[in-house]
Amino acid sequence: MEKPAIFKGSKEGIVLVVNPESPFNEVIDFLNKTFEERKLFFSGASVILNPNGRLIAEEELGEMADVFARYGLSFKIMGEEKVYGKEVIASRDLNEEKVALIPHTIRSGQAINFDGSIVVLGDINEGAEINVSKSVYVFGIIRGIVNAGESVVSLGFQPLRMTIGKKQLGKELSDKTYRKPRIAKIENGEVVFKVVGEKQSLRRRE
Amino acid sequence: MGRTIVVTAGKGGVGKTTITANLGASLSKLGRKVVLVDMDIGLRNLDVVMGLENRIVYNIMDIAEGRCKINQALVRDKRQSGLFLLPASQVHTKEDVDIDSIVSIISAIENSFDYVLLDSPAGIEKGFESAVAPSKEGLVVVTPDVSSVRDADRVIGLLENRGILGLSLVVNRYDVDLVNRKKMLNADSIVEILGLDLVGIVPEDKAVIDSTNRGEILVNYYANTIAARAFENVARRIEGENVPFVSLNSQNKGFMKFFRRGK
Ligand SMILES: Nc1ncnc2c1ncn2[C@@H]1O[C@H](COP(=O)(O)OP(=O)(O)OP(=O)(O)O)[C@@H](O)[C@H]1O
Ligand SMILES: [Mg+2]
Repeated sequence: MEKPAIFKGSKEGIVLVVNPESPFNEVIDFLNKTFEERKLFFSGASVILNPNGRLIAEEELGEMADVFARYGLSFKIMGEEKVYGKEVIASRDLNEEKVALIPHTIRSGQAINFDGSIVVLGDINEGAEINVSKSVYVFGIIRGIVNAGESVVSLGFQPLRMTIGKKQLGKELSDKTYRKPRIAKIENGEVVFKVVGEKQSLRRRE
Repeated sequence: MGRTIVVTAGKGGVGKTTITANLGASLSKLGRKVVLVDMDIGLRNLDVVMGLENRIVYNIMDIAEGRCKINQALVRDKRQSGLFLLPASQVHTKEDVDIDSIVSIISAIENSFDYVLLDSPAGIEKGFESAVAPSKEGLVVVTPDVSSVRDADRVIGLLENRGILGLSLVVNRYDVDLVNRKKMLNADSIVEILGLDLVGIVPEDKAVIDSTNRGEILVNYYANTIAARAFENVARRIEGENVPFVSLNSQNKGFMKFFRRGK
């Protein structure tokens, strides 16, 4: 075994086998690199950690939990019940759109990067950061940083910074904090906040 | 087996040690057997807050490094026979700690106590990790200011990542005057941001510092002060009792909204 770790498929889920010989920081680097490159493959998967004879110290477990959490993932140690990291409960292709569900508040220091759309059941707190290629649907309040390719739907907007497409909302956001459900999207090159479910009028606009 | 709870905050100086001591003494008054573990290796403080600094013989590093048995290091409280301190070492640094041996010490202790409370140091580095690793539940302390709430949010995320899902919140040093003058966050907004189960609002009270200077735990010494009653309510809520939040100020109806949610 040359690599610091390998992922293997099994009927219980994806098994992460670590190399008992590799320095721990190499294991961490490997995880970061693999998750970054293959986000979608892992999202929604339950990973089982096979220590492969390696003694994993408590603080190393904590460090691994943080890497998993950064990608919305979680793991269990083989034969144990405790869940480390964070859970994306499902990720599906809906009409070609990849959607991941994150069933919790995203807190300060946590980041989610996803190629597709995400649904967050909770808030996006100050100090958290979301980067998605399509849309974000938040069943909670946005207080942190959100960068979305297409649109942002949320029960409340109080973001520190928000980008939709290439358009960054800076200062003007401070007047545009909403405590009501809104959809933020680009219309005619500008970010607009619309009432969710608002009907399109037949009337022609300027 | 006892409940092992880390008292933590992220931010320094918000009252972790004060709450550990007063919660421990209050639980002990309710008839529970409690041990308080000082995890602030190198900057120990809990012994002073409890007024036990002169009775320390061994500490947790002596146990970890095989110089004594667990029982030899435990110091009994001056007033409560069911309350014990497991002191930190002052001559080591947090980097000297072997987290795995702390975990095994705590799991040995858990069997003989109802509560093991770990007083975590400030920060999210190794000292925090050592306090969190043996814990199954967490009590997060915040003061009503933006930076404390943000640090708490960060810490809650780290605790959740480590599978510690039983988390409760205490708001400490609450000053109703300053809240009313909008110089401090009110408890409602803190709970809204952090989304944890609120188990206590402890007012700013000079009696806290006064009792600490005398080497006495507030709830043991000035049991009738408002802060002491607030600490005792934290203990009762952690025990599962449904203690309503009394309004600290009749103008502030928001308080009445808080009841402990059932576990
Ligand atoms: N409710 C309160 N009213 C007044 N003073 C308080 C209150 N709670 C704590 N204090 C005071 O605040 C100071 C800091 O408290 P404490 O040492 O418990 O904080 P800590 O979070 O443990 O700090 P550290 O991060 O340094 O370990 C102490 O002087 C303490 O007496
Ligand atoms: Mg302290």
